[in-house]
Amino acid sequence: MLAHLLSFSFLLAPPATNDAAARAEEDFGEIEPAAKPEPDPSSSASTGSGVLAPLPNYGDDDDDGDGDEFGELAPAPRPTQNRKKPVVVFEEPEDFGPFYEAEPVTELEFPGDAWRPDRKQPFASVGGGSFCFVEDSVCGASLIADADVGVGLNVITTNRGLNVPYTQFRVRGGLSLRPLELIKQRWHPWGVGVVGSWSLGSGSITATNRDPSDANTSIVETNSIRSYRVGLLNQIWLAQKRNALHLDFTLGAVNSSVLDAQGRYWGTHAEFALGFGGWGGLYFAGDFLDSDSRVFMGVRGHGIATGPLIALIVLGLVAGGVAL
Amino acid sequence: MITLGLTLGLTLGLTPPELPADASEGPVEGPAEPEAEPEPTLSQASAAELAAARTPRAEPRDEGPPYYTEAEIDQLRARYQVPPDPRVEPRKPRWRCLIPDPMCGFGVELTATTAFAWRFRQGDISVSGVYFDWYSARVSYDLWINFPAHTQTVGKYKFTRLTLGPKAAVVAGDNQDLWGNFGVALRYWFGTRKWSPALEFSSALSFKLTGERAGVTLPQRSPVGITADIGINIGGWGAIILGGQYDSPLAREDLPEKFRVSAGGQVFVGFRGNILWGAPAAVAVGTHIAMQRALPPQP
Repeated sequence: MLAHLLSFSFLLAPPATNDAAARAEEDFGEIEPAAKPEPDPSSSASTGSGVLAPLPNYGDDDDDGDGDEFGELAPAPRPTQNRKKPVVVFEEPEDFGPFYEAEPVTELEFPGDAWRPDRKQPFASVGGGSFCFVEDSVCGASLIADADVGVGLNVITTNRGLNVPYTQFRVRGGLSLRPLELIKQRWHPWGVGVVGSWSLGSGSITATNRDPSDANTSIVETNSIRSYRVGLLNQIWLAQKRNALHLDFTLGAVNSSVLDAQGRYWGTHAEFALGFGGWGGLYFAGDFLDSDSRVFMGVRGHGIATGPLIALIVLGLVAGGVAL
Repeated sequence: MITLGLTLGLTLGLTPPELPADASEGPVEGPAEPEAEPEPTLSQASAAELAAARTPRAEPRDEGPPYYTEAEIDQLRARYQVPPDPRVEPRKPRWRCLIPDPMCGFGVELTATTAFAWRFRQGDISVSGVYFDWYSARVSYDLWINFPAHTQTVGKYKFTRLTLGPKAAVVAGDNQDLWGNFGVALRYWFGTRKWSPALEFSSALSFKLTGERAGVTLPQRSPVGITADIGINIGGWGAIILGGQYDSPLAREDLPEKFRVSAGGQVFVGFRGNILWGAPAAVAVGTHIAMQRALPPQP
């Protein structure tokens, strides 16, 4: 019986250690931490009063015995890894600037955007934006189809006519490409395209008298000016966001009538425009023919939007008995 | 004896508890299920039970996130003077944002305007006191491109309070006239709800496109005039507008009288609505047709 009792007493006894500090704890309470040496004020690392003493580290062996007790639990020194780091060469990003940066990421969003048809890919696009029926900043190729109204001045550069206001209605079509975006498969601001347009404008005021000394006699109004234009389009998209602004430069040729002369003639056509995505644009344009020029400005809208409006106007005119 | 009793007690206490006899004979079976009770049906529920079922239950506190109730969050935000959580549950926009809504950002909008117009025009200046004024209608079809110029943040969402963008329009009048204009359109929303009112203001350069001459509609010229209107919109569906237009004269001395254009203008009151819900477009087309057929030629 005594043997059982003794064995149980040994079980309940604290583990025997040889550490003097542990014995002191058992006899006199908690162990006071060992006094650290005062930092040397003359040391360059010392900042004088208020300096923080280094915290005791797990690996420090200031007191004997702890290291033996927890030796197995101490973290083993990591094997030195002599892996060769890959050499990273700085590459200057192309087209980095205030206009071409990507849209900043924001946590805020319009609630209605979750229901937009263009929330995942550009509106009216195929192939994930490879081709769009309405121009967008990320489209590789886009259809151009719009209508506009414009107003300007009919400038007669000879004495055979008078400078008068000029107004017109125009439809435009074409195709735009983003060559570098298609080749490199990443966004690029440059685009190029081909456009053609037809316009119906107010006639000129011209003098039928061929006598240069009396130019303003027999002044008549010509028929409505019908013009055809073809041009090369250059685009710069100013941002990558949806419906971003873009600058459009068009240079080409115009075929139109000139004053009261018979036949049709070719001249130069130039246009500068600020586009609002593919849905609209503000333009300044000019048709420069021999002694007869027209400079005009206006706002155009994509055919998807302007088509229904044109249909409603024509319906009202035709049903109202107007002879078009 | 004392040591004996202590040793026995320890021995018994360290002995593992005995397993049930059937535990070593086969797999443990669960307790016998009670006899299934009939499922209560909705028709058998009392009014009190239905009311209790409709009452939202408090979230369990200790089962997982969220670890704080909404009341505690509100208390915490109030403690630090943070505005209370709006807990916005946005609704579905109408026509995928083709009808303007404070929930939408960029938008393209087609509107039809039908208005009653008081028109006036100055006559030949060589004749003293020649002045004409008459009443007729004005029909306008507008394309607005709306950019969000100012937004309000509510929770994780932003709502448009001010839109600004280009606009272009074609305006039909009497005498088979068609006018064009382009300019800037502005809309300020007074709220973010479905039927929030909005203030609309648009101004544009206006010019004549076509007119009637000898019974045929032909392209016509005009100097650049101005037009502007202001209106109150309800929920993006339509607006009551008040506007005016001034037509600049073309009165150069070297221009024969028959090519001159005298000054004119109009003041109009009307309704402008989005064409997608049909009625504004139908009223506009009907007014345009009636105007062409019923009104006599005007000066």
